[in-house]
Amino acid sequence: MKVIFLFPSIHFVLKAEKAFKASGFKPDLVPVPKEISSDCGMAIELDFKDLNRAQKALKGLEPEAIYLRAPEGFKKLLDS
Amino acid sequence: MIYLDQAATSFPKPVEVVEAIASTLKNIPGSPGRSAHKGALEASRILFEAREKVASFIGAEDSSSIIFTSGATESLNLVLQGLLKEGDRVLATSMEHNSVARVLGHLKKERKLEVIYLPCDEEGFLDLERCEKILREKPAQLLCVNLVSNVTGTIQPLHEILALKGETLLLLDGAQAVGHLPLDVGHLPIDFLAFSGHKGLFGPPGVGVLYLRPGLEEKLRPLKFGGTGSRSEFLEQPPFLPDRFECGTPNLPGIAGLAAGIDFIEKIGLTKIHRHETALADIFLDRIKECPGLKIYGPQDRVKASAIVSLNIEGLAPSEVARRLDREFGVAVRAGLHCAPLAHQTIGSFPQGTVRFSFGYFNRLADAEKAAEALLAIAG
Repeated sequence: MKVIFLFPSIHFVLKAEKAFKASGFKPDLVPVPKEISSDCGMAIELDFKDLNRAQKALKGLEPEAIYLRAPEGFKKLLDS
Repeated sequence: MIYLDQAATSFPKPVEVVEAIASTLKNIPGSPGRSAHKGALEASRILFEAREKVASFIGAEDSSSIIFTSGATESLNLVLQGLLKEGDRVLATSMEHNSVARVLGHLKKERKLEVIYLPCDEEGFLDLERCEKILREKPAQLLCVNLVSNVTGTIQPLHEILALKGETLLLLDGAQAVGHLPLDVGHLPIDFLAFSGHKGLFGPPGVGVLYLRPGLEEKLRPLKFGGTGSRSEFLEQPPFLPDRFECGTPNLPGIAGLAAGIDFIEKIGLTKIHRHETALADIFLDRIKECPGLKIYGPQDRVKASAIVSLNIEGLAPSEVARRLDREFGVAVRAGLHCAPLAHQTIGSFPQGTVRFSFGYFNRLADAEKAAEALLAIAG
């Protein structure tokens, strides 16, 4: 399963991507799924198993929300 | 041509800068932050990396505090127009450029500001005692300091100013400083730093930067409103940086050029660039200093000056000297008031102005020598 990190703008998406990469994760930039936001930008997808460590890697950079991409649909895990 | 108008705009631009600009125009389909396709993402990455580079270059911890503008003038306008409210008290040095002075002139009428120009001596240095006294009399909302004068090259004593400014916010006009002098906003209590991309940073015209200390964004009203690619469902400007102050399609080729200019500076070394430029100014001064009838302005102690030299030949208008330098000797300089009438009033060269020679990294020893010979021939 995957988790999706939402950020306020592409600037913060790329900041988060940099922080994830610096901590050894392999973030995937994906278009924001229509089901979770009307925003037409990008979001970051990571493996669910990395969620806790990934949040720490952000070092104070707050995601707007984190969603779980589950077979039955999206589930909100964190809301700012 | 011997180009000694580097303070107006640096020339030539490093080939890396030209290539970076051309590359975005040739290879990047899309606008940053506006779509999710590969081209737009690539554009977003160029913008992001440029922002990170600028932040790192001036010591800013968070690249979100770097706002790209159309130039130092817009950066200064953003602070002055965005921050100052009806009746605010503003202090500024009497060496300010019109990019500050005209905005203050406008706001003085529009918002009934109390604008106080702080005295500077004949060499252009701020009178620190008077500055402190005026600050103590009554707190001011903002202190504006032109860190390096575009007329005389005078470098204001930044550390002393920071030590006495207290709670007053500081706006530094770094148009002639960034890319010449080391600046570390991460370790100094600088609130706002405005600078251009096309002078010391070797970028193209049409791009500049405002650094603002994190947390100050809420005090500033945006200068413009519009599309950011973020929070598009709302009719309000996003409150977060940098989108709060950046809207419309950014000047990506210009920003890429600015970033390449910083790469160039880091490859050569800022200290080496500064030493080279100031050495040329020193050699030029050394060759002309004995010439009778010559009045040289600015700091006697050239350690406190950048590579800008302002002078006049007795009995000759600055514009005439510049015209002869250009026509007879192929030396390009700038004559007149340099958009800084206050500075010329301060150093005693108003209203005729001065002839300004400004040296850059791409100038060579022969340029300084030939310019000195030409000037001596005209002064005859």
